[in-house]
Amino acid sequence: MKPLKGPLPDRFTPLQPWVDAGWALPSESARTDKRHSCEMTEITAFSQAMLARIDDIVEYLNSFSLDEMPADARQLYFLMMSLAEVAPAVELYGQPLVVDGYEYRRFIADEDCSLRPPL
Amino acid sequence: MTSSTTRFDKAYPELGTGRIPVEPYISEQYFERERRYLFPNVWLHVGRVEELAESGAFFVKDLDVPNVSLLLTRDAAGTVFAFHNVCSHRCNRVVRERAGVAKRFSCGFHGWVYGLDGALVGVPDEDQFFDFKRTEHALTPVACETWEGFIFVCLAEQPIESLSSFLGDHFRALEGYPFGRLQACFSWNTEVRCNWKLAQDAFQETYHVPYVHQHSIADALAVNDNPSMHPIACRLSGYHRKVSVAGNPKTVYGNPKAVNDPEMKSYNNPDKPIGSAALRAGIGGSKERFDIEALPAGMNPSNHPDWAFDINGIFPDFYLSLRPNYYQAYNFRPISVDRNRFEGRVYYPKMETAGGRFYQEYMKCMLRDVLLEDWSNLEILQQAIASGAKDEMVFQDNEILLRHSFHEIDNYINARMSETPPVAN
Repeated sequence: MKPLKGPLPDRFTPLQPWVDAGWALPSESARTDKRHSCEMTEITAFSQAMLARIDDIVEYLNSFSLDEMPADARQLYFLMMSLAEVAPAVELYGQPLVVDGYEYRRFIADEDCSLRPPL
Repeated sequence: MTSSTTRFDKAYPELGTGRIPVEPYISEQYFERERRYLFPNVWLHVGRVEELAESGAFFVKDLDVPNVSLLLTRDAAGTVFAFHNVCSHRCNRVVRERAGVAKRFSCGFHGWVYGLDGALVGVPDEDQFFDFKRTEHALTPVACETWEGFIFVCLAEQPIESLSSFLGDHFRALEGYPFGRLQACFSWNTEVRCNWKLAQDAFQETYHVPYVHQHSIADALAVNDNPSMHPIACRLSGYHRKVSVAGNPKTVYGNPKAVNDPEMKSYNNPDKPIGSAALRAGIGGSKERFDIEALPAGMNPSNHPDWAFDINGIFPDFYLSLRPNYYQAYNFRPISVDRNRFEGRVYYPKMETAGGRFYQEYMKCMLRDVLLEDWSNLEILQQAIASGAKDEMVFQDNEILLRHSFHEIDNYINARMSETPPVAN
């Protein structure tokens, strides 16, 4: 799945390089692949940039209904989802891979499950 | 031989304290007995009623043992049905889609058509068949019952007992848990090169947590006076089993008041900056309330103040771990003696805000990576057991669910074998 590419809401323009670097990804599998394709230096820089604004980001996105989020807000939303994806790398392992972990590609997220949240 | 400090051996002396043979984990003959006497006779969990939310909703569930493709449907009256997904004409797979909504099902081979209740309702060129009665050619039904929204099937032509009888008192005491309000489901699957019981065993004890999960969730289960993470309670009832596990409610991962508690707005743990942000973001994400006080009596049966969650083992292969505000449902599906298919699901409340989804996504990614920690060891373990170096394993008191599982499976197989007349030569 390809990353979304487009402008962020004006007040979050400083985060635009992370959209351009392909972190606005609309599925769990795509975000997992992205995490494992990156060096820890990029993951750390991404998470620090996002964490510096995270409470603002949440407040801004919470002003929209999940069903009616404009395209620029959705870009920001998917960046935020990628922050959740890299959390174990940043907070637990100090590396993209789970330490002594099972091969992540064999552990398949069921993106088509009808009970999965759409966004 | 017991110890003065052990507890569960004294509560359940019938299980003994002896060593457990490795044979059931590596023997083709033992697997054949499971395939023949265990899995065709028990009730197997196949999904949730919410997957069949409207009239005409259906999904297909394929199993390896027994080797069947099942079609689950809901009709206009709301009845849930299960059928063998096999055409009555020349045994083609009727439904190839995984899930959807339909008014009827048409076989792609010669166009036979079935209703949501399995009735044969259309046959092209029907007058060319002989002594033909449509009523004799419905889809073959499979026994199907539900409990608290979980759909179970039994492949036996005549189930030995009803689902209600099979589940027994243990599960009646869980009725009232908010399953129906936890409908945001994330799921994963993987085919693992180890025996299904070896896999399930690894999820039925907390002895491994300080080691396997030292980098991740060990802190969420850590309670000062319990460094070895002993279960705080154990209940065995018939085929089924449970332990209660203590936890630290001040951690992000083990927080029972996440989403509901406004005090979390100021949560900040410098070691978990993303988790702290997620916990803050999650406040108000769902209007549903999940109060520990409202949980049914079957949960936290010892009323322990440090209680975090219960692990329920539903015979033979269904794991249900219940927390106040989310739950996990895992199946360990046998494929062969040394392969199993793990189907893991976690159910959270539906979130109404982006912040709520961020919290949920954080929790989901943590859980998924914790599962990767669990699975990494199991293929190596299978190879090591198969080497023949050891004939037995040693279970300690806090591994009682593994001991119970071993005995119940063995007893069940032996009971079914004794009922079956020997095959004449």
